[in-house]
Parts: sequence; structure tokens; C-alpha cells
Amino acid sequence: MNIFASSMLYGGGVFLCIFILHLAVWRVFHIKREILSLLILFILIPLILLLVITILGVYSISENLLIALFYFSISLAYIQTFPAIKENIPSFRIMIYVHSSTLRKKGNLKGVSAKQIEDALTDESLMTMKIQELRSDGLMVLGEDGFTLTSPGKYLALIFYRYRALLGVQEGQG
Amino acid sequence: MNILPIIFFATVGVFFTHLLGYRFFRDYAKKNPQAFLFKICLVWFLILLVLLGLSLWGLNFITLFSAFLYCMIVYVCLVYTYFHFFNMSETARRIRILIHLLGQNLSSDQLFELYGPKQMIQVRLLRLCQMGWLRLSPDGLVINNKLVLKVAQFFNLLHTIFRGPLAQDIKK
Repeated sequence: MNIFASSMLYGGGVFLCIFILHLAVWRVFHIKREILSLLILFILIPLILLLVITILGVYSISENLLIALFYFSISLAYIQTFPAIKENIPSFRIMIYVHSSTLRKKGNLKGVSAKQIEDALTDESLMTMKIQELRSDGLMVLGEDGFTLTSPGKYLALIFYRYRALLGVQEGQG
Repeated sequence: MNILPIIFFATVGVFFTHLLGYRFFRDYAKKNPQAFLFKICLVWFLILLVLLGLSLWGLNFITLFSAFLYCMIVYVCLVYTYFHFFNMSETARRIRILIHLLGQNLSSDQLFELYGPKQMIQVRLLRLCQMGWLRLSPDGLVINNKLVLKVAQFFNLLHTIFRGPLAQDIKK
């Protein structure tokens, strides 16, 4: 087997193992700090594993690099996708609502008004759930003066704030 | 091994082209930011293919195929990660809340006032129309992009498997 095929096999295999572990852990335990837990499981643990393998000299450095790049690129993509799977993405909810409402009126092919969509989908949980998630992820806390950012929350906000500044645009619409 | 600098070059290329593109073609980029970034990723994907072809010329078919597959998977995952990062900066509710809280404390009521659920839906309706995912017909809004609808249904299915039916959240 050539070096690329074996890198895909080992990198993919490690990802599959971690993914199964992730599913099991998420089913059994109530995970509070989800972002941190994902980073530990998908990045930190495999990174330590990789360092050990490199030190032991199981594979050559070039093989290790190829395996690591393959594994971490898949993991990063997964970590980004997981919240989208977990939550109700409002844009997707709108798409599904418009589709199902249009289907129901297929006889006369009527669409849906913006007001109808707003009435059906405007829900306080859109906001309260996000606040709850941010608090359980330890990114903000509720103090006497209201909500305030924790240090990790401040760093995360600054990363996005500066990134938008780098693009030369204002903060996103959300 | 000389494929690693090529992947690196293409991925970093996406990032810098995006930054420069936003500076020089802002009006065009802002019309549909996601599509703009997608086009950049596509252009760099073609560049990646050409560079790989030149670099791996002469290898046997199996190795060549494996190398191309490897590079494509890694490149797609990396640019997908960047695409998602950009998309979060543009559309994520949690990021908007965090940025509102930068340098100030806000009560729950103040947060709702700045960015309430109704505004969330309105902003998204406008964006979906701007991106051409929804279309305003004489009888109201209709789906205009079936591929995105399929993606939404796929995520809905995954969500149902992981957490419970999304449909329960929609007020009848």
C-alpha cells in the first residue's frame, strides 16, 4: 500500500474510533462544556497520541505528518459541523417551513408570506437557548450587572471581531 | 511529500484571496458572501489540481489516484472549516451575542432588544432571498434552491436522529 492510501486508512481509522467514542460519551454523560470537550476529544488526545507515536518511531516523520494532516482536517470539519447537527438552524427551519407550507397548498401553488413565517418560527428559545449554551460553555456569566463575558468568551469574541475588521466589514447580522 | 506545500499553498491562497477579494470587490462580495467564498474555493481547487498534476506526473496510476484523493479530501475539509468560520462570523447567533457583550454588561432584556427572535427570523428571511435560496413569487415566498432544501432536510434528519424532531419546534 502506498503512503497516501495508508495515511488515509490510519487517519480515517483514528477519526472513526474517536467519533464512536464521542457518540458514546455524549450519549452517556451530560456534557456541559461542549466546545472544550470536543477540542479535548478530537484534538488534544490524538495530538498526545501522535507525539507518543512519533517519539516511539512507529512510523516515519513523513508518514506521521500525512496521517496527522488527514486526521486533523477531517476532525476540524466535523467539530465545525457538530453544532449545526445539534441545533435547529433557523435558516434551515425557514426553508423546511416554506417547503412544507407550499406543498400543502400545491393545488393552487401558493407561497408563504413573510408574516406567516415570522409568526410560525419566532420563538424566544432562539435566543434563550443560545444564551444557555454560551453560559454552559463558560463563555459568559450572569452577574449582578447582567451578562458579562468570561476570558475565553472575550477571546472568542475578539477573534471574530478582528477577523471581521480584517475583512473590512462590520459585525455579522447574526 | 511535496504535496504538503501544495495543499498549504492552496488553503492559504483561499484565505488571502478572500481577504483581498473583500477589500477590492466589496459590493460584489457583500451581495452573496457565501457564494463569493465558494467561488474562491473552487478556483483554488482547480489551481490545486493543476499543481498536483505537475508535481505527481510520472507516478503509477494507483499512487497518483491515492495522492489526488488524499489532497482533495484534506483540501475540502480545510476550506470547509474556513468557510464555516466565515459563515459563523456572518450568521451565528452566539457570535453576535458575544460581540454585543464585548466591553459591556447587558441584561437579558437588553440582549433581546438588540437582537431578538423576531429580528433573527427577519434577518434570515432577507438573507435567504438575497442568496437566492427563497424567491418572492406573486403569491408569497417559495423555495428557489432545491439543493439547499435537500441539505436542510438532511440536517433535519441528522438532528432528529441526534436530538429529536425539529418539526416539534415549529408552531403549528
